[in-house]
Amino acid sequence: MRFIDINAMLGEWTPKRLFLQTAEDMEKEMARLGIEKAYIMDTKAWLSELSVGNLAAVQTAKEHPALRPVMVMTPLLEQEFGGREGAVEFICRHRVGAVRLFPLDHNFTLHPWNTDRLFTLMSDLRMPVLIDRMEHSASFEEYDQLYRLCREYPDVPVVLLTPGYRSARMIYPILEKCANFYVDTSLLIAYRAVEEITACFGAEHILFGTRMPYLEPGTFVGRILYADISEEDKEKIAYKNIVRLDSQIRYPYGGNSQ
Amino acid sequence: MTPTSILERALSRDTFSDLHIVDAHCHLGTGHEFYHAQAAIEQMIREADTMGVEKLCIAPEAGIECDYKYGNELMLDSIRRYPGRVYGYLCLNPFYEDEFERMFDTYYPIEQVIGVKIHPGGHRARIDCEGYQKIFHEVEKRGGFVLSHTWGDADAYCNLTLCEEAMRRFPNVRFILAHSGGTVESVKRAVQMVNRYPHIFLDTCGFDVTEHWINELTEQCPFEKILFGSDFPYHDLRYGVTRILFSNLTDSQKAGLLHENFEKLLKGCPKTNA
Amino acid sequence: MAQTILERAKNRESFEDLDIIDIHCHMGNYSGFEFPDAGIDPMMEDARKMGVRRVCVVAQAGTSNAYRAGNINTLRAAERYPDRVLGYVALNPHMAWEAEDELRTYYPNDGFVGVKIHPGAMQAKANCKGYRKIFDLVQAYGGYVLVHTWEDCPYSNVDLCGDVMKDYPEIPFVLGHAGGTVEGVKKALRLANRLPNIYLDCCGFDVTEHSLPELAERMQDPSRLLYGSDYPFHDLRYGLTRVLFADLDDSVKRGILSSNAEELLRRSPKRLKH
Repeated sequence: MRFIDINAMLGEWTPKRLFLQTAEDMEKEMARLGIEKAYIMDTKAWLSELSVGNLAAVQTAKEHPALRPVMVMTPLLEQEFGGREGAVEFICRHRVGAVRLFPLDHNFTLHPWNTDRLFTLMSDLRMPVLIDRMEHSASFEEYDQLYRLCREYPDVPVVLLTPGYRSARMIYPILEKCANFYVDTSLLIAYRAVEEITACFGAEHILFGTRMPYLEPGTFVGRILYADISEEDKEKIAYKNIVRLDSQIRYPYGGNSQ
Repeated sequence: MTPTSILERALSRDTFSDLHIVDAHCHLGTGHEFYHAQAAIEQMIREADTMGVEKLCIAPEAGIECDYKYGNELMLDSIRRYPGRVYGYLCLNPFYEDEFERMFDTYYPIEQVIGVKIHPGGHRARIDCEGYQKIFHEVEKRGGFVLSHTWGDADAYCNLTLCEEAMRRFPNVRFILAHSGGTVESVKRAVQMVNRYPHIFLDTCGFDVTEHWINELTEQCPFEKILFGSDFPYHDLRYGVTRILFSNLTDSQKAGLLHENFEKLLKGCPKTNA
Repeated sequence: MAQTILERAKNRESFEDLDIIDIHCHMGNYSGFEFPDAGIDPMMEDARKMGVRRVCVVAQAGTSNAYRAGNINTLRAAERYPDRVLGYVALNPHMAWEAEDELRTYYPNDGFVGVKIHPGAMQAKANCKGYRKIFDLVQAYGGYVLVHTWEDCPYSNVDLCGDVMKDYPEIPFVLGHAGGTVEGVKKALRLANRLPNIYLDCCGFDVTEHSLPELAERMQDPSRLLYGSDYPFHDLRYGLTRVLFADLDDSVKRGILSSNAEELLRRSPKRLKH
C-alpha cells in the first residue's frame, strides 16, 4: 500500500537527539517501511527562527523528491512573510503542500478575530492547514476555537495533528459537524479510534501522519495495515485523502500542482 | 530467518501466534477520564486473536481507581473465562492496610495471578508511603512481581525519584516501571535505574508517546529487562504490537521482547503459595 | 548629586563617551512572537545611534533546539564587528558531552567572553548534572556565565541557581533578569549579597515593580549590577533609557553602563587561547 506521511519534521531538538538526523536518514526509514512521500517542516521554524526554518524545509525538499515542504505560518501580519503577497509568492514558488500552525508555542489564538486574514488566504488557496497540538497542551477553549474556524472556513481542510488518546469527547463532535475537519494517525492510539471514526464519520477524515522522528513511524504504518476496516478505507487514509486535498490546492501562479 | 522477516510478515499483515506474545500491561473495561471503545474481556480476547497475542496480563481499570475490590472480581472472572489467555494482577488500595492479607489470601493462590499492579496516581498515594511498603513486604514474602505506573517529575505520586527511593529498599522484589517513566527526561532516568538495580524492569508502552525510540532501550538497557506492554485498552492493542513488529530490531530481539523476556521474569519470581 | 547624564538624555544626546557595554543581547528573530528583522546589522545601527559601544550577544538559535547553528551565527557576527560584538557560547545541558568541543572551537576567538545558558528554553534545571558539567568546563577554561533566571520557572528559579552557584565560587555568574518576578528579584538580591560571584543585570525585571535605584541601593556591592537590555526581544532604547533616566547619580550610572562590566571582563579571563 502507498503511504504519504503528512506529519514529519527535520532538524534538531533540545532535550535529546532524535533517531533521524538528516533527510537521508528519513528517506532510509521511509524506504524500510514503504512510505512513499513525507510532508516535512524544519524544527527551526517551530522552535527558533521561523523564516530560517521555512527556507531550510523548502531547500531540503528541493534536494529530496520524496519530501514535500510544509510552511509554518502565524496570523498573517503585514509585518511577517511579506504579508499576503509575500506568503502567496513563497507558497507558489516552493509548491508548499500544507501550512502548519503552532498556536500555543507561537503565541496566538485560533479564534477567527486573530486568524481571519490567514484563513481567508488559506480558503482562497484551498490549502490544508495542519494544527500542531500535543493533546496535553490544548485547553478546552482551543477546541472551541478549532470548531469555529472549521465552521467559518468550510473550504479550508483543517487537520488536527497528534490528537492523542484522550480527545474523543472533543473531536468526535467536530468530526460529526464539520466535513472539512481531519485528524492524522500520529498518536490516534485510543482503542478502536481508527475503526470508530471510519464507521461513524468516514475514513475521509483521517490522514496518515507519523510525527517522525519524534515518534516511530513504523507503528502507524502497522496500525493502518492491521486496522479493522475495509481495504478501500485503508487506502483513503494511507494516501488517497491527501492526494485528493492536494489536487484541490489553487496555486495562483507558476507551474502545475505536483 | 532473515533479520527482516517479521517486518516482511507484518507488512503483509500476518498474525504471529508462533511468537506466543504476552502483553504484560493491560487493563480491562472503561475508565472515566476519557472515552474509548467498550472493552469487555470477550472483546479484548477477540482483538488479541486478530494480532496473534496469546496472553494478556490485566489489571481492570476499576482496580486502579476507586473500587479496587470490584476490579479484582473482574480480573478473576476474566481468568475463569479464558484460563489459558489471561494473567491477572492483584490490585490493592494502599490506604486499606487491614484488607491486604485477605486480598492476598484470596487471589494469590490462583495460578494465573502473577503479581500486584499499583497505580499511585490513581490511588493518590505516594509510592514510598507506608501502605505500599507493606504491600511490597507481602510480595517479598509471597513471590510474584509488582507492576507500577510511573511518570515524570510532575507526578507527585510516582515520579522516578520516589520510585527509586521506594524500590531500592526491596531488592528482593521485582518491579516493572510501567511506561518506563513516561516523559523524555524520565525515560533517561529509568534507563539508569534498570542498569543500576538488578530487580528493576521496564515496559514498552506510554513512553511511546515521547521522543524515545525502542532501539534506544535495547541499546542502553540489559535486554532481558525490557518487557512488551501495550496499555490496552487505553491504547489500541494493534498500536502497541506494531510498535515492536515494525521497529528496526532483529527478529530474535522482537521475539525476546514479545515473549521470552516475560517468561524469564515469571520464572524468576515464583509464588510461594501457588 | 550630579545628574548631567539625565540632562544630556533629555536633550537626546548619544553617549559614545560612556563606553557602554550591553551584556545581555540576543540576535536574530524568534519563532515565538513577531518583531522586526533583527540581524546583527540593524542591531548595530540601533546601538550606534544610542552610543552603545559593545553588545554581548547569543544568537537566537543558540538558546533553542539548534544551539550549535546559533554558535556559528554568533561567531559570524563577532567577526563582522570586531571589538563591538562580544559573543557567548551557547551550550545544551542534555548534550553536555558536546560542550567541551564547542568551547574549544569558539573560546580561542577573542570575541567570545563566556557562556550563556537558558535553563527554561532547554527544559533542564540550572543545577542539573549537565549544567554542572558545563560549569566544570567554565571553571577550567575561564570566562563568565550569563544565566537566564525567572522565579516562576521550574528550571531557572533563583533557588536552583543558588544551589549550584555556591559550588563554583570562582565563576562569575550573571543572573539575567535578576530573577524576573517581584519575588525573584528579592531572592536574587539576597543571593548576590550572600555570594560574591553573583552579578545581576537590569532587564526583564523592568517589567516588575522594582525600580533600578532600589536595586542599586540594596546591593551591598553595587559594582555587581550590570546594564543588559535583552535586545532585540526588548527595544534597545528601552533598556538604555531605563538607566539614563533613572534617579541615580552619574557615577552609579557610569558603573552600571560600563565600568562594572569592564571589571567583570577583567575578572574572568579565558584560559583557552589560540
